[in-house]
Amino acid sequence: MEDVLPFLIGGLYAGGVYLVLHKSFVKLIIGLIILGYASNLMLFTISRITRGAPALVPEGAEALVEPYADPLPQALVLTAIVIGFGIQAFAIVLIKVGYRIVATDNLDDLNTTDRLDD
Amino acid sequence: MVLALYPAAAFAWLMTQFGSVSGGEVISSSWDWVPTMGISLSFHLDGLSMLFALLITGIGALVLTYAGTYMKGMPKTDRFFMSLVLFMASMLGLVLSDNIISLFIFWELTSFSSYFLIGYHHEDKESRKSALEALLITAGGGLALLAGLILLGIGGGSMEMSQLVQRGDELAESGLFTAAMLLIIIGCFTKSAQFPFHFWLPSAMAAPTPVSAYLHSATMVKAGVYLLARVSPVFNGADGWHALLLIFGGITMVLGALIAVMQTDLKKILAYTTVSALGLLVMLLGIGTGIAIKAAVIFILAHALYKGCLFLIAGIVDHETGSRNIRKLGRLFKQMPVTGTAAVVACLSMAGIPPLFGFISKEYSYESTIGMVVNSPLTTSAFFITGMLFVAAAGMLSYMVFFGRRNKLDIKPHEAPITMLAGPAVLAVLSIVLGVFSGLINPLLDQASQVVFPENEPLNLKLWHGINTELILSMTTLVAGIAAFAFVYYNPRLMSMIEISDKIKPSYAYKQTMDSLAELAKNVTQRVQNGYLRVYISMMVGTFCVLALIVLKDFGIPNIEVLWSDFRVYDIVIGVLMIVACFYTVVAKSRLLAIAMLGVVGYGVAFVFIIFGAPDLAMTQILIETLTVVLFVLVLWKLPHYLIFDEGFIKFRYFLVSALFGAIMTWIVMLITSYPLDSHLKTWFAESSYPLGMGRNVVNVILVDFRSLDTLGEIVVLGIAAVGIYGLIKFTTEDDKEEAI
Repeated sequence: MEDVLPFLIGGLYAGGVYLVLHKSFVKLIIGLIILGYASNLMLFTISRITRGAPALVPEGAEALVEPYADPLPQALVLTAIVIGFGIQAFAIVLIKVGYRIVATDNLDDLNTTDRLDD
Repeated sequence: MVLALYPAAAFAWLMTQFGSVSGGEVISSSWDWVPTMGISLSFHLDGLSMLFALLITGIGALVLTYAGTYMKGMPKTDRFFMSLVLFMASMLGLVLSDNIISLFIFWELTSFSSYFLIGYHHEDKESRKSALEALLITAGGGLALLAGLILLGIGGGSMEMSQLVQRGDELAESGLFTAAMLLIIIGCFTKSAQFPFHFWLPSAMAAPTPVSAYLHSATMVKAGVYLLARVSPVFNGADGWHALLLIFGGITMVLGALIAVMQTDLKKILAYTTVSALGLLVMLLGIGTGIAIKAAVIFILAHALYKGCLFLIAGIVDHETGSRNIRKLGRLFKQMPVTGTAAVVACLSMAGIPPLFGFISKEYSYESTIGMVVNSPLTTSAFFITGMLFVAAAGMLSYMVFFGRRNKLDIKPHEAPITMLAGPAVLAVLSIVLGVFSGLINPLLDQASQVVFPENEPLNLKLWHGINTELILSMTTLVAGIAAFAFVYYNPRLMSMIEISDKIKPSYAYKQTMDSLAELAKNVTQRVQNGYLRVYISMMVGTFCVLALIVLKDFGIPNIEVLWSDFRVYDIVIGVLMIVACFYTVVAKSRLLAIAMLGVVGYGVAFVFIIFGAPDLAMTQILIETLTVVLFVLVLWKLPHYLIFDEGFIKFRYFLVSALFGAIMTWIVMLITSYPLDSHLKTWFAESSYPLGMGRNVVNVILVDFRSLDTLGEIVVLGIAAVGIYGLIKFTTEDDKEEAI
């Protein structure tokens, strides 16, 4: 599956970017979440993957026994997943509150502060 | 007042070195600054530097004394004096620097401090505008100068001015000669207010008068002349050098003098005569013969003495009468005898009447133009016209203010306090003393002219040269000047009727440029910063794609050898499932379907983690995926209709961008995995986890032990997100509250 993972990652990236480019706030967040998956998988893949060998030290041994998965990228990805969740949760609630106040889900209606006065 | 002690002390120290420098010695000292780039703080005191340094510290001390009284009762004087002293130090650094880079830095510092000083009355829009104008023009020219100096340094193979002036031939061979010369000339022209950059100087009169007296007559505006003089051993004799300096100096000189006699504001008259005087100096440097250089050096001193004096007097008149309009002023001599006397002396020097120092200077100027090989009649007549107008302007500044018609003032003026009189009085006395006993200053001026023009014949200042062409010309100028003054004096109406169309002035071009720049910036901002998130994102993604393709094109596509034997059935099932789910998330017409499909993709990711030995990741992923989906559904079920794009074309464009991005990411991942990975961290964690961290799950040990601070940071981020979410939920607008009531 190692050879197919790059295509899977590319597909996820493409889908994520495509969604982010939409006008809808909800699609923007779904796109961001997919981009998050893609990035996590990419980090996981580029540090080489090992099939079915978790980084667990067997009973009675002092160190990991080959073959074993690289534990470092796993730790990094784990942190990324958790932080990603924090952002997702915040963004989801933001849509909710934003909608209550401005009554729109359309990002094009939310650009007034960025516009110069003519 | 106390501040004046600093420049006074510096002046005194310089005077102690006067003898040795006048004898041809050079005092220098140096500290390394950025030695790898040849930048050092090296200072060099020779005749030319000495002349300028004496002017800066001497007039500086007088101006500070004067300003102490002048600025009394005005706001922010502390800031004012800080800028003034900063300027003084930078100007001193500028004329003493030997290293061309530190020279440039001091040069820019003078521009900045001058900006603060011109903009002193910053509540006034006009004042701010003038300050900005002066800054943009001098700093813009400064950029040209920097480029020119660097070229000079590269071409000459040294960063030290004292070395460079001896390496003119090396520079000529390097091919950078002309470029360096042109750039340096532009820099000097902007600083010394040469046509067509001259207009900033009259505008800069918005500054308090002590500043005008100091910066805009005696010191800063002469920086350009100083540098031209400093580099003239390198460029003297080159094609273009003489022509450029002569033409632009000449235009500036005549134009400045002409505009000066049309003015009614004392300070404007002084400003335009200063512009004219700077033109004269540039022209003398352009003539470039030994005698012309002598004339330039003498005129630098003469001009600083009388013009500084006159500016200070203009300040006194303004301070005591509340007006600077020469049509309103008149017959002030009785009330202000000391000021009047100083003004008359300075004006006589300006008009070039013996026995004042200005006379000697004028004699030398005439001598240098008569001795010119080409175009002597043209330059001589230019000098003649300017000299004549100078006489007229001198008459306007002295006769019309202190004698002439009865004044139309509402208040009765009286003499200024001694602290304010000291400056003009000292300068006026010097104009006389140096005129009569010119031998006092002769050695220094001789040295200065030797620096600018090596192996110049020794200077021998004399008041009386006998009756010769110069003297006859000088006297004719005087007579013509008095006639011109009489014309101006008796035809005030005619003078005030002359108006020059704004459109032919260089200041109009400046204004147009600034306006169109602002317009351009606005247009660009509106285009780039248009408020559409998707445009920003597609720009970022597009830029990334282009840059990535530029780098990746050298690598080629790695071979993919799909080992089908290595595949398990569930691999394929999961892969296909994820792609399909991702596709449906993208195209889904209902929000719920999109979220459900998103969940499928998330669980797919978790399965990939499981397959490749990352159970912790999989657990986290599954937990969080579930939470996200639940949160989404809970929060979003009340939202409006799910938006989709209407225009197929835009959709297609964004599809292309995202497909390209996805393809590039695939390529990158394949490239990275095709190279061998060398990680000693992997083995280190594998071996140390149990002995050091006492844990068998290595991933957990890393998270809570080896990298526990990272985990703490992560928890903090989650905490912040939680606080933010709480704030958002509790957030109510004014409208909400009203509804609730």
